[in-house]
Amino acid sequence: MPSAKPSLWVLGGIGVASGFLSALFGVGGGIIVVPLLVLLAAFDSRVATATSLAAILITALSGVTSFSLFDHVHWKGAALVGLPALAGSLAGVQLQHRISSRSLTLAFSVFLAAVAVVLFIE
Amino acid sequence: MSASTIALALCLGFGAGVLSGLFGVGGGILFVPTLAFVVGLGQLDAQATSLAAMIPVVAFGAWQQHRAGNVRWRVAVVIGLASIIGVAGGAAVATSLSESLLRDLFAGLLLIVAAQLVLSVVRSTPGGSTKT
Repeated sequence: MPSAKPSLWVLGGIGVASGFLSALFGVGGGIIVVPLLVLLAAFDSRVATATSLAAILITALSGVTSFSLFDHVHWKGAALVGLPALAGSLAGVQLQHRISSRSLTLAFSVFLAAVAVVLFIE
Repeated sequence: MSASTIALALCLGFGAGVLSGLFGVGGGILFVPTLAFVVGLGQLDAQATSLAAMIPVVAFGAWQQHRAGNVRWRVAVVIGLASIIGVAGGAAVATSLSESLLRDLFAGLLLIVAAQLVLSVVRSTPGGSTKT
């Protein structure tokens, strides 16, 4: 289905919400951009994910700029996890083409829930 | 930072990248716990640093997706520019909350993402109601 041209207001709303979430939690915002583009703009999930990545680049740059003004960004720490993650994400995308296992996704969600519990206890 | 801390952070960073590529989740939800537990940053600093850490991953991913012709740039730029307004609000809220509340809220977000992943699996089950 060809996607209808989403209105500027809808896109602006998605952007504001994702920026808020991103700065509040230190995440990209794809968690809400992707489902909202699918739901409100009728994008297919591949295009929604790709478009969300491009938008997040602007979001992350703006978040880093505002937090670094108040000295909250540790650049060495960022390089320490961000650069190996770049290599890792290439491997992850390659793996995705080969395996698409439901149990793997479920295992990952259990892992996330476990991290959440540890964070609650800390 | 000790050598073993650095080695562990590098490994977990790589692992976070693999998982984000594999599951299509942002690296952020994995960077934040790594930066907090391994590098020893406070919750707010871990979150701020996570945004910096994701830039190389996101930039490279966006470039690859652009080459594959999947990015709708007008939409991305409008969302990205509008997000700057949200970032200002989110940063103001994040810096005003206590570290422990911020950490609990982040843990809540992890649970939501975990639930979303489970739902996506349930929905894609053969015989499910939506797309294959």
